[in-house]
Amino acid sequence: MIFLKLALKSIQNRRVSTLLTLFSIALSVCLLLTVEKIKRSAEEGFTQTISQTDLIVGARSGPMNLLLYTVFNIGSATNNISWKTYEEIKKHPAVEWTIPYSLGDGHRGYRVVGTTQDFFDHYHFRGDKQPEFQEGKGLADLWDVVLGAEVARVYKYKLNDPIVVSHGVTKTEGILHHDDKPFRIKGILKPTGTALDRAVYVSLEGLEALHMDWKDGAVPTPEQQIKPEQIKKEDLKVQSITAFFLRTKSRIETLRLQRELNNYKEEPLLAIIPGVALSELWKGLSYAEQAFRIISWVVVVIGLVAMLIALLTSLNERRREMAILRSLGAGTNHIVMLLVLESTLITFFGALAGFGFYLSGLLVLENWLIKEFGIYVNALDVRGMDLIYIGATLVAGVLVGFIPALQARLSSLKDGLSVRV
Amino acid sequence: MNPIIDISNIEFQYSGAEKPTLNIQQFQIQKGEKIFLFGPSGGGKSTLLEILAGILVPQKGQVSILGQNLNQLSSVERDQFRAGHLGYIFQSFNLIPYLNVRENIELPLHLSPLRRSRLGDNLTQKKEFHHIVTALGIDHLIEKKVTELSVGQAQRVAVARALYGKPELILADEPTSSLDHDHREKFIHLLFRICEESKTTVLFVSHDRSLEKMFDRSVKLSEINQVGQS
Repeated sequence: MIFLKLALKSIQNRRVSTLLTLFSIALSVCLLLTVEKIKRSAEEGFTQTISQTDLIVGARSGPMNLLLYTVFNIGSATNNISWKTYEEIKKHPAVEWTIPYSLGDGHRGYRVVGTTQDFFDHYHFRGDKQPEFQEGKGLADLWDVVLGAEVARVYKYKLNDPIVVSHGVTKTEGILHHDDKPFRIKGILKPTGTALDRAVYVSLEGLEALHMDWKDGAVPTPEQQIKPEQIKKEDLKVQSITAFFLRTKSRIETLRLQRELNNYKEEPLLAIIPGVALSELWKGLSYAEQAFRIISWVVVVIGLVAMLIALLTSLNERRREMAILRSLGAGTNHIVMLLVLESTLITFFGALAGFGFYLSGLLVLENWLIKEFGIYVNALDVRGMDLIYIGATLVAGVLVGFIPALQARLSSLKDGLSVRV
Repeated sequence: MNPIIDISNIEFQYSGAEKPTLNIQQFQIQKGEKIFLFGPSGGGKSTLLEILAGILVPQKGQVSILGQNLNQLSSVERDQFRAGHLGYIFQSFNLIPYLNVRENIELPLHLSPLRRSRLGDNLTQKKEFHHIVTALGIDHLIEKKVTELSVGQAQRVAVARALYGKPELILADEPTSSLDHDHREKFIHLLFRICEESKTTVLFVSHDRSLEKMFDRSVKLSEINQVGQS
């Protein structure tokens, strides 16, 4: 294919301007793919925050409210579920496992979650991933605490550091501290890129013990205070929890169980299916990402315009070359083909380089992104959408290439063989 | 014997021009002839060459090359005809700047299956290539960049490219005007020697009559062109 060879040699000959054009296309493709990736990772981090949980059950309120305060630790529960109800549902024949979940206190802006070993055994996110410890282990003793990765990183906590829990959750430091009853850090979770990183986990009993000496929601006076060493795990009786996660033995039972729980006689309950609710919520939040995508397409257009300008400005000095080719028997369609091939090659290698930048950049920054931003990216997870974007850029490049090509055809027809340069 | 070029009653006018550039009743060249066509600059010499090359099509009349009436061919067929049967040499800047000497010379073979088939297999192609570059004294230059050549060397490369694949007709548009006098004569001797081997016809166009005597026949364009005579 002589014209392919000619096109390659020709763009090689204009190495500097070609490289600049190629680089600008590469950068725009890289940006486009990165925006797409981050958007997808954010969406996955969001919708995959919880998985393998079939129902989330709480006191009756709105489904969004229940989802937000359980999965994302945002907002608060209007009411609790009694421990008795929880125990009963746990024994339901259709239930495989449950994770109790109690909220109410905070630590320096982060939620304190009261739960049990069930949480570490059964909680799943992003498909089959489970919370893992980067240091330490789970909750064994009453005053043990496990930190989400972000909490540990932001406040530079280490194992066995004492931690004071505040009453209620405030954005910054709390006002009422349970400083009479400090916890000890016994474990730090690995970063997950989900809301798990932004919570502090204690046992249900620990949470109960904090408020043991409280009367009617009031702070105990010094005389009423019970010393932490006086409290034994065995003495504590958990009265209520905020909500719980539930897994059915078989997925087909989910809907039936949901209906059953929503009509629970003893207590008004609400059961929601997290996957459905999460997707609905995400759709409402995805305006910003649309704007990003539009901006990155504009950048691709700018890259292609740069190529167009480079090719158009080179046309005049190439008129002689076109006349020589014509004299050797090339038709005007060959001239068009030659120039379209050139722009196609530039776009192709540009897009390829952009894809390369994107992949290598992600591979290098993968760990940093999850640590610093809690964004979980899997660089090697290339989707059909990425290829469609690269393909769309290529098609656009070929189409843009027709502009200088048809221009060259026009001037070649006008010049014939007699160009005076 | 049939003429290799046979022009009858052509009239050509550029679009937008007030009067025709060419109006030629009759003009013939026989096979193997070396013709010197002269006339002042702007007199229509290049226009005539472009008509013969099938780049321009006259509004009236017939142009026939090697017995083929160019008017009957489509533009794509004319391009193929030119690629197969004609070698064209410009005044200067004959070479594609991003190809080396060898690639420039081999270019017409890639563009014309006819030129390729005339030379037969690879071995014959190589022999012919070697023969041409040796005869033109450019065998030591073939891997060079064309931008490193002198004007005289570049023109000899242009001749090699025009002749590679044995086209029947060479159209040369003032190929010596960028050379000094001594080199002009040498260049034409070289061109003739190599053309005679394969009985290639040469139509050489120039405004400089000092070379006239080297040719078989000399034609003054104004004598055959009716435009401007009346």
